[in-house]
Amino acid sequence: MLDVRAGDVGKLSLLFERHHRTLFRNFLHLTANRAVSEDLVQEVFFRILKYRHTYQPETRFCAWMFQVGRNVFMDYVVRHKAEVAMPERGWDVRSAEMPPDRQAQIRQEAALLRRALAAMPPEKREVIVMSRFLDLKYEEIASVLKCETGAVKVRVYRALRELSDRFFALCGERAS
Amino acid sequence: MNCERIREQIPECLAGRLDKAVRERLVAHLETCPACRAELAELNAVWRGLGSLPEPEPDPALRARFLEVLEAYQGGVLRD
Repeated sequence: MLDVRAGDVGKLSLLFERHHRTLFRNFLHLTANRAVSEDLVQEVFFRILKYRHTYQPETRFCAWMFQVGRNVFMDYVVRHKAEVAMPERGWDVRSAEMPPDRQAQIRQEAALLRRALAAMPPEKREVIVMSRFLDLKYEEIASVLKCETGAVKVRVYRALRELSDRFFALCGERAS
Repeated sequence: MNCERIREQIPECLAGRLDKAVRERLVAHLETCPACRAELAELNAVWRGLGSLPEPEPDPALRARFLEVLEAYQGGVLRD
């Protein structure tokens, strides 16, 4: 990123190659819409290009990219007054040499977990996405959320607890 | 450390990010507290479930679109 900031903007293609899938999956968790998620990824990298001079070397690129992504997503929400849509159908479960009944069970649990995640309040879903899918450290999440690291610890725990409650409630509904 | 403080450490424990001393305190507490053990087991199931969700791939056209934008920017066609 330092080279990009210094003007070698062609090197942004390397960063795109390395990180665009993670960013896409992050937006997919937030929007449940592939086309929108791809547009948001495009917008993030365009903003990185445009605001490259604001990148601070002491910040890990992933954390900065996610901060830009968060701003892009917030703008999208404001523009579209977006509510997160429930996915119509699940994404395919990878199933190398797994018995069909086990595949079906995993697919069902994954669908319930995605439903539970989609039903979470956005600010709680966001800390789960940051800590679990983006693998950001608590210090980096604190920097994104502009709060203390201790507060992140509490928020992640409470979000995970709520997700667990929602998930097991859905499992219970299905079983009964 | 009380149960609430212990439970707040669970996500970091599941992510493998707890330092050794804190992890040892957590383990010592879990050995004597069935409620926190149950909490760990439940959150672990969800944490692992999140980790095994399918990872969908973006359309390859996304890369092509980005490279077009980058090229246009480099060529001066696209401005800040």
